Amino acid sequence: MNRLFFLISLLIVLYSCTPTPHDVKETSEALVIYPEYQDVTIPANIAPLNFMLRNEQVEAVSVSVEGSREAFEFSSRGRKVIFDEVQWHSFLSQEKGNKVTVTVTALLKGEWYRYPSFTWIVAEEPIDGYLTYRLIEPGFEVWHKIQIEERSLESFETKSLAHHEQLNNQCMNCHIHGGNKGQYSLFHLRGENGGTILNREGRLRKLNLRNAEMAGGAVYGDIHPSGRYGVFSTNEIIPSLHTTGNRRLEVFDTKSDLCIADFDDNRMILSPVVADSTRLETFPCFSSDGKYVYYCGAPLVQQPDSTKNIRYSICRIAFDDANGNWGEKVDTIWNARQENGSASFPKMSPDGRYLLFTRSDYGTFPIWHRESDLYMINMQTHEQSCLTEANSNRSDTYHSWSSNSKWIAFASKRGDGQYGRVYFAYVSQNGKVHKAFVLPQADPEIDDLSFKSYNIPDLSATSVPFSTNEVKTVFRSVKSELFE
Amino acid sequence: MKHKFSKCQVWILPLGSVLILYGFFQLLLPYTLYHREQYSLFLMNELTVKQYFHQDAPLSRLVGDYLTQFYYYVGAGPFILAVVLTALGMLTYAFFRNLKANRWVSGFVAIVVVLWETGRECIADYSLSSTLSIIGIAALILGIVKLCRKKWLGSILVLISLLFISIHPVNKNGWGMPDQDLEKMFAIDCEAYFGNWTRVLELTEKDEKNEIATYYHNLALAMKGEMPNQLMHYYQPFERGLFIPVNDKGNYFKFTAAGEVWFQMGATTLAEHASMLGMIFSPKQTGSRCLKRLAEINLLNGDSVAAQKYLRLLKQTPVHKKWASDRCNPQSPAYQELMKKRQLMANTDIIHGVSNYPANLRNLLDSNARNYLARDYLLCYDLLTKNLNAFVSDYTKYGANVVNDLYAQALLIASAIDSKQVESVEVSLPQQILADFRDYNQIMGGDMGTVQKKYGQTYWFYYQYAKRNEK
Repeated sequence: MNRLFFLISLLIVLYSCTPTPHDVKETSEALVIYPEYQDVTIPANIAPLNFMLRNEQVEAVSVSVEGSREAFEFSSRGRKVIFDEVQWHSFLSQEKGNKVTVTVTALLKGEWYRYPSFTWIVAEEPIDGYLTYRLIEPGFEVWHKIQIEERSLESFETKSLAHHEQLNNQCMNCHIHGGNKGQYSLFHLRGENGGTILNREGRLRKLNLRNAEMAGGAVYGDIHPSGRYGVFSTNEIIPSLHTTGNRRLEVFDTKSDLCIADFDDNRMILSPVVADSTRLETFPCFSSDGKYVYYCGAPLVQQPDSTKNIRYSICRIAFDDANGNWGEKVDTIWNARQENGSASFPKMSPDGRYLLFTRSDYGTFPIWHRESDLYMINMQTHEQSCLTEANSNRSDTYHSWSSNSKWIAFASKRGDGQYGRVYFAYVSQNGKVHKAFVLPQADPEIDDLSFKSYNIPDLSATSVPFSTNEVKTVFRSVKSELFE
Repeated sequence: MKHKFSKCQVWILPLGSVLILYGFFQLLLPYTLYHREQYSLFLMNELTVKQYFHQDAPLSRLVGDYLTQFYYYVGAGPFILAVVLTALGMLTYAFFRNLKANRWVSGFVAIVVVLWETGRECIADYSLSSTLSIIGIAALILGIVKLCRKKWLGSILVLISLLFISIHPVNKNGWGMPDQDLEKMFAIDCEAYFGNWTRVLELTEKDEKNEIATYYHNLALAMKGEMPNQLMHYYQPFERGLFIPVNDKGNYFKFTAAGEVWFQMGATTLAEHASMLGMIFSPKQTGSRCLKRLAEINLLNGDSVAAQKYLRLLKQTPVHKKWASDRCNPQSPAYQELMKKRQLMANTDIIHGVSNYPANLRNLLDSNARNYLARDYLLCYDLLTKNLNAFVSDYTKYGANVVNDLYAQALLIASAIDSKQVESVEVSLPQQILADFRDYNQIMGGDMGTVQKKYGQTYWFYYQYAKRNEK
């Protein structure tokens, strides 16, 4: 027995010994890593940017991370670089505002090679600590197992907010926060016993956001900064398919209007100005001061025959939050006809300086449009800019702002073309948006193995104060509150 | 002599058990076992192995999934099951012998346990890890007994067993007998997946009025260019014999099957849609078959980044590694064979509803009039849905040079209903068909048995009498 124990211990010790680089050769070969974390700007509070070398022949890896004040080394067998969380956070907290140089040395067929270094710029401003998203298979129009999760961006911890197993496997639509706070949030639970689950400071309510005058229930929406109102679109959504290439799914609306829900008085506030039967209105959001509603609007056309000709402009209408009244006049902020494109998901930065949106060639469903890119309008100068550094040649959409307006999170299919992942990008003082980086994982191979898309990532400074069990209770035991 | 016999027994009985069990699974359930492999995936990588240890019964899941991948090879599934079930029997026997039961009682209990678990292994989606968990339970109990005598051996047995077992493993589906109807469906599906169309026709020769069998029978005929000639010789549940709907009423088996016809004719979006749903609705939300098909579809679409997602995973499996490597190499025959399908694909994009099959077929034909599979499916779809206006229009545009009994019979009905409708059709119909049509019209009001006997396999009879079963 003792011999056996000794042999096992010896094997463990031998395996644990990490080779040290020696006789290192410089190589000019480009370093291919996943995730692509080279030359990005990162927040000091982000979880470790673990990565792996794509070259499967790599036997061992050594990484030196050098900042202006601190430095550390990492070595491991295999091709994965998984940093120690404590060391990582300690290092980044020292390097705020500094440039960090990362040098990777890899053991390949018995020889050590040093790749050209890359940099990380550690921004002064932190990113919001929490992110919610829906995990769903990209099954086109049918879902199977979905859930809404909250992820801490400072670590790898996740918390389930709504889980299909507890909710009769019913569909759920994406979770959004009000004012980047966990205290205000909502999502829709579809089907029997469903409703809109509203969280106001931890108190959960189930709402039936529809009255007799409305053609359908609430779909896309946003919460007013005060937490009292929610603005929504009601959409008749038709899924359809493309026939060529990898465009896959197209979704269009045959009817869509806007409405505002007053969560205090349980009433829906409608206006003919945003419920025009000859037009489609969708993707509403409040301005950061709550005085306006921004949304996308387009003239109604025959679909699907003319789906490729439908282009949505970005419009704006006033909202009087004191009396709960819609304005009378609609302004066009971004004219689809003039721009020869279609806008989706306008989102204003919390400081009111920028309006971020997705631009596609046509339609209202940018997820499978490879040309979908993020654009930003400077609300002071009205100049628009394409976020060239952050965009990719795949769909980049479903964005949200960090509460300090310095970071954006968005979903992109750039990784493998099929499954959406969450990316973050830094917005500098002059509005320049830096190269994006993907949500770090405890093991960098997790994304490779996952068959789920991250849907509607939404940032929040604080964690939501409810759990999946409370949602289950509300779903099963609470009757939907009616709205007039 | 007695001693020698006992020694022989030690080997003969387990060997006999392995042979009997092997024969049982090989003869009765080979495709069921192969089906299990198609909907599982075992990756030889560190993270995957680690992830097993975040679940209950990690070792039984790990070993079970590892062994299940070898079901891919002919005969391997029955052999693995025979060995595993025999091991279960031997452990049971050893346990009862340790309890001082005599060998007959111990042997009887062991046989009952093996038979019981064999019955459970007959359930289509039963997992090998469940059997391994039971082996874990048996080993645990045996280990506890051994602990009392040889502590070190008992401790090891108990530790390993604890990793094998947990609450999960025992499948709730109870017990089953070999389901030969299901086995046949799996056989048809499997042979079609491998493109063994003659074998598919052999398997579906007997018309059992089953929609899936009709679907594959039609596909096999279409691959041989024989579908229009044979269409009325087989049970035809309207368009459901041509296309399997992909909607929330289906299941993973139907979804995956639904993609086969679209893949064969180059309609990659619909093929991908079906494969994706087949995978995500399958018991483990994965599977080598769907991954392979998704990789192929994305290679055809020219989306190499998406294809790499699946190929990278398949390369990490011992069994499908070579398949994936071949698809990564543009010089390989397998890759070049796959790329031939590109000629069939549509080159003009349209947007259509998920179940708007004719729009998709016309789109394929507008891009490539030589896509004979799409042409036959379109014309047969028009006929099976009794849409003669669409048939005449599609026949004029895409199939005017094709003359066969089915299309001739349909044109005669269309002409009888509205002669102007077929004025544009420039085709001379065989005299025999014209004579038969006159005869059919004369006798159709008479004895039904006579009409059916004489014309039961004509489109005239189908058009007049076939009723849609909405169930």
